[in-house]
Amino acid sequence: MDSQESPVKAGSSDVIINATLRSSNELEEAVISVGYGLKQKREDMVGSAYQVSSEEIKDRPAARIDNLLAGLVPGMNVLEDNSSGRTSVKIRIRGDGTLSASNEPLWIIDGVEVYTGSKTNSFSGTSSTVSPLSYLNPDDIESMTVLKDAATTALYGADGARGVILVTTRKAREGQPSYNFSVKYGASWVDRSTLQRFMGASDWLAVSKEAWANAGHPAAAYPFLDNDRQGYKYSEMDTDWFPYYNGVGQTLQANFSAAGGTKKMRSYFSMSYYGNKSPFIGNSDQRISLNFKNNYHFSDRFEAGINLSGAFLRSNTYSRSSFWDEHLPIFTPYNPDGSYRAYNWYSTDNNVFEPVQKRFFSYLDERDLNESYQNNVNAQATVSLVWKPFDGFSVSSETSGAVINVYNPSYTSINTIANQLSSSTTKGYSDRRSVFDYRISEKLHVNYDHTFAGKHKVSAVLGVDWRSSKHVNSEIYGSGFANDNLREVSFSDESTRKGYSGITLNKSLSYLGSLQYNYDKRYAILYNFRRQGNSDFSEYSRWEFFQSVGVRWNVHREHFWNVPWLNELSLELTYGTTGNSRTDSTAYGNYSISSGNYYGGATGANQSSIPNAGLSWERTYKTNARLNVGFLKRFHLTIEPYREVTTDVLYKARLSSVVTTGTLMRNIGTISNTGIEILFESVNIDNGNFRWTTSFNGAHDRNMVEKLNGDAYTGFFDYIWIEGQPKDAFWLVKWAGVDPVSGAPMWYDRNGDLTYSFNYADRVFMPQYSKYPVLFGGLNNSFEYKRLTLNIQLTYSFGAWDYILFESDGSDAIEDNQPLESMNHWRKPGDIALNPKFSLNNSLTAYNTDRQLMRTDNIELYTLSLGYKLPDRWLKGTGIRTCQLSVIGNHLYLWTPAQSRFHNSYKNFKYSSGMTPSVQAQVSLSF
Amino acid sequence: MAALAAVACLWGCAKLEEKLLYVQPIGKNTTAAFLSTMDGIQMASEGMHRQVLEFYHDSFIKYAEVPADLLNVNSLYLDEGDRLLYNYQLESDHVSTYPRNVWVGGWDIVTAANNLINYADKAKATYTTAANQALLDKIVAQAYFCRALAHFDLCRAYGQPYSYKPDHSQLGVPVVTRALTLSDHPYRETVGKVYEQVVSDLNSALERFEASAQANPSAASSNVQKDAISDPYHVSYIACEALLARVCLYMEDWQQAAKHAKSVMDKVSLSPRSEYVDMFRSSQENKGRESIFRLNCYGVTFALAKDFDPTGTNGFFPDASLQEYYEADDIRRELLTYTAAAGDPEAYQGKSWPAVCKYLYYKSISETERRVCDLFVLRVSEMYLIHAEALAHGEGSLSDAADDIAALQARARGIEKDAVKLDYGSAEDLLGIIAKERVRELCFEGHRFFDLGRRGESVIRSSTSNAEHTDEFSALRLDYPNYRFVLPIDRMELQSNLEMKPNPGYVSYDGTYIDGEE
Repeated sequence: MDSQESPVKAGSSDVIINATLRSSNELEEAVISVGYGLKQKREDMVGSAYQVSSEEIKDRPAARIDNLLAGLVPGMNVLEDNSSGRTSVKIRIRGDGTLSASNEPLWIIDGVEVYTGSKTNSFSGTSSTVSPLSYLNPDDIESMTVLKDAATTALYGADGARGVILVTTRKAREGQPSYNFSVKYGASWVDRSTLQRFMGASDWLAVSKEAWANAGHPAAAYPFLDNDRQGYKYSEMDTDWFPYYNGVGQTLQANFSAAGGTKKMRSYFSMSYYGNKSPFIGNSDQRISLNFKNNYHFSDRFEAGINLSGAFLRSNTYSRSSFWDEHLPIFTPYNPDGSYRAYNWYSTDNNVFEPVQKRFFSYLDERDLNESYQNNVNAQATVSLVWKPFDGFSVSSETSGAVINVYNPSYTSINTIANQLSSSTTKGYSDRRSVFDYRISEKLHVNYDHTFAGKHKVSAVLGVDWRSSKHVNSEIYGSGFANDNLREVSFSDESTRKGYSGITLNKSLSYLGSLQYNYDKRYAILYNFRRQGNSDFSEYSRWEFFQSVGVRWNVHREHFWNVPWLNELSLELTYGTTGNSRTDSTAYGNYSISSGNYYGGATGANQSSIPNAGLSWERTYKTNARLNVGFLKRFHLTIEPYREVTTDVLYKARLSSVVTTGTLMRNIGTISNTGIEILFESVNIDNGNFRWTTSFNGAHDRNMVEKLNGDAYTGFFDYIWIEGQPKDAFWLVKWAGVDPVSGAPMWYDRNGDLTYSFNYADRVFMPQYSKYPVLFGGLNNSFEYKRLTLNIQLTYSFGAWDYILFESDGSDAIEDNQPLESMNHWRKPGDIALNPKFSLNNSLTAYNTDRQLMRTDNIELYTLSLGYKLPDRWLKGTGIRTCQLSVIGNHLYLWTPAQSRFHNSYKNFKYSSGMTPSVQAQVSLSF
Repeated sequence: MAALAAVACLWGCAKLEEKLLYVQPIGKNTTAAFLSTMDGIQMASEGMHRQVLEFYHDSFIKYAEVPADLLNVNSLYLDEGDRLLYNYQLESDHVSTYPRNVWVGGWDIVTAANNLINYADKAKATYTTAANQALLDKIVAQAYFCRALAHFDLCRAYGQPYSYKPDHSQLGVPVVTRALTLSDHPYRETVGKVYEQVVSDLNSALERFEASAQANPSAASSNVQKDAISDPYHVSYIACEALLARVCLYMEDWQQAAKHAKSVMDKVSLSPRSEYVDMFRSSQENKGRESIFRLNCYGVTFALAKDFDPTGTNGFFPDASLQEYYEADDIRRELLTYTAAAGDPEAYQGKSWPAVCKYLYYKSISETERRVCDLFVLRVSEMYLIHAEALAHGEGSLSDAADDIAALQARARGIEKDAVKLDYGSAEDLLGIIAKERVRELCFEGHRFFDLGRRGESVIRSSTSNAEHTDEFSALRLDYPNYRFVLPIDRMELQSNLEMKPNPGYVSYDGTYIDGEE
């Protein structure tokens, strides 16, 4: 049976293979680490730690590690946004638990906390963020463990409230050397069926003329009648804008690793290259990652290790306008001579047709001519020392330092249309940003593990954790360049040159401890604490104490238990507190000197933020129950209900402007998350030749604002926070449809009466629509037949709604292309139509009404991979031990219930720039 | 012994712990640290003056003129906020324009002033040389002035005029005399209380100027002297007197108004006719002999200049009816008509047209040096008008009052004072003449709407006004009294501070009308 750390026979020699945690069958051997040297077998473990092995994520997109886990972990929602042409990822473990502090989990790689950017994962000081989570080569990952409940996260104290993700990278083990080489190449593209659907030229011309006429303007003055100045006939043009912004992407990934060791020394070495040209034209990334680990046993009592890793990234970033798809189909991107189109000719008068020259923005010139990239260098070193004065007892020190450097230049060409047309004498714009982020940390801990008399197992740790970080950024910019080659700020017009710099310092010190006692593999009891101080908080609230307790009962180990088909039945219960200090606020108030405060040329200063002395940590009380059931040695079910209550929720609240005009972080209320997570794993068929396994996970999270302090204002544009309702409850005006007689839009006012005029004051809270899903998760199936393997991984989400704004009433029918559903509008009395009488005069029938609420139910085919392992006899004499060929597809298909070719559904909005399927072929060799 | 060792160990640990969590306070200017040095305090004092400038140019001067009757508008170029204000349609919900901008701008001044009053006083214990003591006293005095000015202006914008109710119990604004903290929920005092504080602050300012002069008598050029202003760009002793004169006028305390105005008139002369236009058009070269307090606009590009720019997309120009106020030889008319200058676009050359010329860019100088006319907060001409009005209200003889008006007219027309003919048979007649002279002299300098309100007069716009008017609604007139003589408290303020009472008459942010006895 495969297990995490046991050698198995493969071929003729003893080698280590990276084994898989498969299902309850391996219950006894699976070892889960929760950090600080604490490890427990899965059966002895107290608390909610979910471990994902490298096997489960090996076929996932390799760009970054934070979206590797989509659909694999119960209760973990991975939300991707690609609206700017680059993907950003939000991770929510057990829902939103805070208002303004970070909702992101804490990332720890090999025991070292990763800087993932500010509370919203943005890397401050750069123009766009390349996440530090994209530095790690996913092939180096051995396992990822997601900690959710208090028993596991309280050890991480201040920042564990929204969950902790531990990444363990591959290490060397004693034994023969092993070498792995793999290369993967593939293509990706934008799935057009997942983009918002717009009209072709003839449909658009028809509806925009209708909107024009219905607004009372004469048809003879319609702006886009054919005219001589434009150079072609509008009536004959039908531009498909898609290919100008989207292309075929390519990915190449190559990876080499070597590992081996003796009793004295073990080493692991890896290097990898990853190159990606995005299907969103203008974006590409290249990464080189290096990793070296060495571990030396000086004696049975003392060992030392070093872990060096580095990554170099170059990303060309182009933040494109997300409105390219609304360009009119009668326009063209280029002039007949091939130059970028700067103008179109059309009429702008409501009554007389008189074409005038109007500026047109495709931004294609800016994408092609401008430059914006980032060079990211990430280097990290960890030295670990372990001294074992006697058996079961160890003293460990882990010292690590990490530095991230980002160099982020951007340059606006003097040849862009905007620069060419500008009357300014200083053309071209160059901006150079540089960020250094330094982190050092020291962890000292004493561990004790011992089993007395075969029945009493004790596992304890006591430690100190100190961290210090320094984030410095600087920026210089200038404009006025003689030619594009100069582009460095030194060559800019001196009077335009400016520069800024900033620094952020933070320190944190913690004392922590954990004590677990297991009796006869039947009962376990656990206690954790962490006392943590953070320099960001004022002296009154600088220290916080977190603790948790947990119990476990393995019923199937009881002597009275005699149900042979039920091989596992266990119960766990944990309770405790964690915190969240990841805010951006200061306790002391600031005065700032800036030119905006200068007076008469004299240096001036004003208060930029007022002292915020009362601010304190968010505190989350987590309760978690867990039931594990294993039966017939094939099926395993985990049911996990939980409740988390966060008090002193931080929110950037507005105060009376008499006190301060800006917003300020304040502890304003209480939020709860109550939910249940289900994980079902089964070995459906296993007959030697054929093996079929299934893993299904699902989660439901009910988020609720329990309490808001009276003076906190919580109504926003389209949502509101109300006590007793989920955070971000929809707050919209109720749409009453289209008057069949007149074609006028109708709403209900806040008293429920029909009205023909829209008023923001008629916004009502809509409890029947929630932005949080009823059930979300993943379904993963794996088939093995002889040498063939097939993996199918799906993600799904049901029951949530989203407010998605697009106009289909004709109000912008002259400026923008119209969504397909605009065809369905009122034309004559008696029509029952989706949209009102199509007119430019319609004002905002889309804004703030519930007609724009869309069901977000969806199922996505996230990964489909087919692998074939070459027979050993073919490899005989080549020195190659195994050779695996695979074809891997990601993001292959998205299904939503209401999808149609004739109107838009959530399918067209889940990814704002469209879903990007990819197919890759891979060869992996080990020898 | 063991206990002692344990205590020592714990103490050592506590010390170490402190070190491990200590973060150098660099890259951050905490309020207390910044305001603990002379440099910091001086910078904050400049910053406070800048806040006053921001407040005046961003919204306050326009707020005093747009809803009144002297400006006409070109709706095509008008900002949404200006359009709503001109047509009396602002509501509490319009948080991106006047209701919030005036409010926020005013309180920013108060915050800056309160921090200075607090910390500059504390710094006196550290910086004990006579020069430093004098400087700190002066800065505190200036802060008192700014606090008074902001309260007075906010109260004029959000509270009905002082004599709206006999006991002045109408809603004013919060009285804020210390740096507020997060737990404060400021509430609105009555207008009477606000004026009380304003007068008290101005008296404190006068005292601190005197203290400063005493601490360092040799500091002749530092604005603290009672008899002269060395730097009209910063608050001075005389500025406090002048503001007191204005505040007393609003309080109808004729005796005090006359006294303070006269004191200023005796010390500062009127600008001569030959320098009058330059005082507005070239303030860089000519600060104006009559300047008491004006705001230095160096390095500031601002909204007022755009709104009034005669060769740009200016939304505002003087109403045609304003011409009727002036004699043909009145120099002040020159500030109401723009004649194209050499640097203006071809299309304008050789033309003249109506425009407010008190806030023009100097087109001649380079773009980086470019600045607009330095705004007036207080100048001596206003003192003549205050003095005349106070006398006409029984504080002196009508002829003395008429004499002040004659002085202004004589200067404006380039004639002898004796040649000025003022035709009045009663105090009422003379008050009418004074009111007209106020328009001639101070139009577009931030007085008109408040003058109408304090005299209880309605706004009556001329037939040439482009104000919106339909059968149901007309912005050609705003009858006094009216809730629209004050701004609504904005929605964001009301929502974030439940202690803040809204102004009656306006639609509340939740769609209901605000009732109130007023």
